[in-house]
Amino acid sequence: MTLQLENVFAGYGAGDVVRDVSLEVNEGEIVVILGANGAGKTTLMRAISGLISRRGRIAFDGDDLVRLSPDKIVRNGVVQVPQGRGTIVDLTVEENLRAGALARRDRSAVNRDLERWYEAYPRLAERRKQKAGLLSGGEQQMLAVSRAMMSRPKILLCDEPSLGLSPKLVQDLFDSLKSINNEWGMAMLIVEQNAAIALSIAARGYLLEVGEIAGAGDTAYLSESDAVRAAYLGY
Amino acid sequence: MRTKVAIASLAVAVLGLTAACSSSSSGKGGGSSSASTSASAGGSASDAQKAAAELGIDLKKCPVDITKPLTGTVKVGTTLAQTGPAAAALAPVGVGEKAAIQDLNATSGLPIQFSLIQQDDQFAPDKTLVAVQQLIQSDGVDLLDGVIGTANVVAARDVVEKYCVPLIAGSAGGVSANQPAKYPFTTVTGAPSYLDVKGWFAYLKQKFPNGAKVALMTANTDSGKDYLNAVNDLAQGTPYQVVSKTTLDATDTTPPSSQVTTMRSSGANVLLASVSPGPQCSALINQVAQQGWKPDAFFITNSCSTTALVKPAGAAAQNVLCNLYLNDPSAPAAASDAGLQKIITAVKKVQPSGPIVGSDISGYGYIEVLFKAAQQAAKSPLGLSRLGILYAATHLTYDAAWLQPGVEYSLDYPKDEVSVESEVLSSFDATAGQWTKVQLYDFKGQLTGKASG
Amino acid sequence: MRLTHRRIAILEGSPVHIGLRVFRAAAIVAVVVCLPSVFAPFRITQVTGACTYAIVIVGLNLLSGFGGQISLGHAAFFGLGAYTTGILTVDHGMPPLLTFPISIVLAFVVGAIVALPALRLRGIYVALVTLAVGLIFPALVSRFDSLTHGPAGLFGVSYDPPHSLSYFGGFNGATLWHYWLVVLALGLVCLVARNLVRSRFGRAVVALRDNESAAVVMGVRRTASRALIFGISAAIAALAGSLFAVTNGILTPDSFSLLLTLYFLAGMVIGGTATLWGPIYGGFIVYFVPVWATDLSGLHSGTNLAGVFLGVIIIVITFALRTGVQGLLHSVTGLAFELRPRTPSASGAFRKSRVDRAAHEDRAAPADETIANGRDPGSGDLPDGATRPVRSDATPRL
Repeated sequence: MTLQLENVFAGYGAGDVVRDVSLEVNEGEIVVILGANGAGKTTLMRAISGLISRRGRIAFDGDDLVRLSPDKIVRNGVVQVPQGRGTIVDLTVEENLRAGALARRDRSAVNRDLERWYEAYPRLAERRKQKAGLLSGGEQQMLAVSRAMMSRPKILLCDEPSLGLSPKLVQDLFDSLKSINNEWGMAMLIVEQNAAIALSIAARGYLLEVGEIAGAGDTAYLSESDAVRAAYLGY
Repeated sequence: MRTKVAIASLAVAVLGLTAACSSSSSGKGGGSSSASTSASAGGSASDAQKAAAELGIDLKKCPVDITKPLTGTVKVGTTLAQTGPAAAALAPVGVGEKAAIQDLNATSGLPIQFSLIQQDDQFAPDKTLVAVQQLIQSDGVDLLDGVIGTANVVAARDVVEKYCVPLIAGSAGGVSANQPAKYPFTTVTGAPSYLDVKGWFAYLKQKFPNGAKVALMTANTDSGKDYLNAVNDLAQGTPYQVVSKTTLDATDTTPPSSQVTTMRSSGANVLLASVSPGPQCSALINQVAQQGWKPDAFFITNSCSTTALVKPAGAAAQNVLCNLYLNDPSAPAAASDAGLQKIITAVKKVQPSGPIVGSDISGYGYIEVLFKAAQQAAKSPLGLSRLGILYAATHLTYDAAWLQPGVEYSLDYPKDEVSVESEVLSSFDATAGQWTKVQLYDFKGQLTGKASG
Repeated sequence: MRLTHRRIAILEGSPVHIGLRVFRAAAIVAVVVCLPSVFAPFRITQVTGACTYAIVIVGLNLLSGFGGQISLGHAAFFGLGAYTTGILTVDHGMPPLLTFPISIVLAFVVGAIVALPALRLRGIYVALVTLAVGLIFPALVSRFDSLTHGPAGLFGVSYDPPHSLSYFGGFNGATLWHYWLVVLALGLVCLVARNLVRSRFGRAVVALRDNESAAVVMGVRRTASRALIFGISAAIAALAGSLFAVTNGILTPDSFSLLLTLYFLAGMVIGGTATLWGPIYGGFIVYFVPVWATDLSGLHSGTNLAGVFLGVIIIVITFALRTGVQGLLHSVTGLAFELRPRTPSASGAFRKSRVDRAAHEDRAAPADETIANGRDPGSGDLPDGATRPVRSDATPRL
């Protein structure tokens, strides 16, 4: 179950924002893409999920995703936790979670999964009948992750999950992601500006600068890398 | 637990109420409420039976006893266009009606008074239906008068028949509105379309004995269809050839330029036009003049006979021909017409300033018919009951001041079902802004059968 | 607005709650059944008319309120249903009941077809397409007058009551029959709408409205969902139109103008968008305000006064009562009552998951999360900003 990108170009119409990107995420890996604002991280995520025009090769588990519509990409097991969490504010917590399972047909398994995520995050359980818009930022982030997990993905794409959260919440969030990776063997592709926290759970990473891959390596290498250090770690 | 019981018993109570309601409703709404024909004070039951039979009414089907004499203040309902595009032409009718009620209540010598309730229908048949329903069911009128428009009368009459409310002097020129055999409570007045066309052809025979090419424009309404049928009928076997036919929507506000172009280029030298009363009258006249077309004879429907509808065309309206049946308050002859002057005085009491137009006069006339019928009914064995007034109205002949001199109001069911059977062909004098009489055409006795379907 | 006084708490699912809902249902049934015996036939006709409007607004609400799409041409679908029934019954002698499913299906297909190209456009362009539909319809009816009887009007549309039932046998039998037809149709449509909104499809539609890209990323089929909801909304409007045709009897193209669409939109907003009862309130208000305006003003300019009233109401709603009449009622009952949602019981099986424990072991400091905007029903009310002390059993993580 590998996600492979080869020579991917993507953009919003006139010009390409992402140019000639190649990367891969292997089974069970957490791979991180680092980049500053405007590097094209969200564009890349949108391209993988089929939301914008793209060309090149994007394959998951051998299936070509470039030709598929977004809902078919989801049904292939590639699920994104979008930037800003994508909470549906007018639906309740429970409805949001069930919405994550839209593509699934197995109702009793959906219910069991729902209970499992309520157990994992009791705060969500407490608020299950409240409108999701009333949740705090941290709670919404957990909701977004749980919702994505409700669709039983094969790989999870996370777009800047730390955005808007306090340092403590960010830590908790990444702890949860690591737990999910441990418990489920879930592969993840995480794009982040916050390099330190991202590298703390990832195995490998890439560096994205102005839409192109500027560097790659395992965590140790990236942590040592002068370029990364200077730009993102602050020293 | 206690709350549970309380709520449950409350629900039971509500359901019980429901059951009680449904059993009582079948008495109120579901049961047939027929009124028996009591021997009314004004005459024997058999007179009423005879009259009803003659008119084709089944007294048992009426929700109220229509043989009972009316007393006190009797409510009369009317509908007309007080707002909307037709209001300019038709709103003065309402003024005339109010004037007549005031005037005639004082002088009629009847033991009852009439009170008038007017509803706006914007000349739209579906709104007329709603207005009439409101008048009958909510305002509780005993009579209706002066519902204006062929389609409007047709829209209203099912309710009228169902509730046995006589409609006196509805104003409709179309054949479909005048069917007393099927709709005995619905009576109309006015010069039917057939009469109008007959007058046109009579004039054509005089002026163009060797024939002419005729262009015809009709409105996309029931009334317009009547004109079309009448022309086709009367042109058969004559040297008058219909070479061009165009139509116009009743609510069309754009000038009929394409229609006029079509008709002009057909080579016709006579133009017959039936448009809807309102701005279309002058719009058509203007358009013909603007395109430089000068037909040898240009006839326009009697619905446009009100001076106010033709004057806006200015000089273009010179020599336009129209059959008038309503008396014209702005004609020079009006000054010496005593009966008309009385009407004008009465209208001025309600509308002290502003011009008195033909529609004011006709409004007065519709109500005058009601009073005349009531007076006749009061003296008859049927008395002042709904049936009595209806019967009187359908057997009424009098010299009406609101009609042109020489035009008589006469109804005598079942022989004569058309109230107006003569008309005054007139030509428009644009400088004076008035109609001048050309000829009186009297077709008395020649129309029953053609105009009443 | 924060309320700090004590309100009567009703626990969801408790006997009181269930009892109240039963009571409400029974009351509705009672009103519907008793109405004909209380009101004069004329008022019953008016109630029938208001309910017909309400049906359209339920459909419109599904599309605009829940689905977030704009339709400026819904009177066209209303008219499509009306003329379908009118033409088939008057000119082809079809039994009216048979024409209802025909008009529903026809409008669904037309609605879905209209929606498909419009969905590729954004915002105002969708509105313009629906506006075009709304404007074209009366013109088409006028042009094809050989089929529709045009501006002269289509007369004589009727649906006679079954003579076997004595309830409908009296003088006002037809009025009662129409009343029951429309009221039952309204109930049915409301039930359908409610189930639709609560279904998986309904969630997808709301998700599309609120956050389109998130919804798409969740697997919602955007075009298909939107076309489907547009078709359903159009079909409901057409059903109302068919009922309007048989209760009114006369159809003219002017009856289905843009003004009527605006009335429907106003009704939706005034009643309360995206609510289940809003359309009913809205339908009644929008039907009766012109009636009352005419009564008030005597005879002159009844229509204009109605416009003034409705305009004022809409302004008030926009500035003060965004959630409409339904929202107002909700707030008023909320002053006295509070519905507490059911929560999982504290004694229930709360299996500590690995996630929880693993994270807890790594952290020395207790979770010090402040409670934002909510109360834990099990332990009494806390003012905002208070910190909840850590409990050893269920550690709130985030």
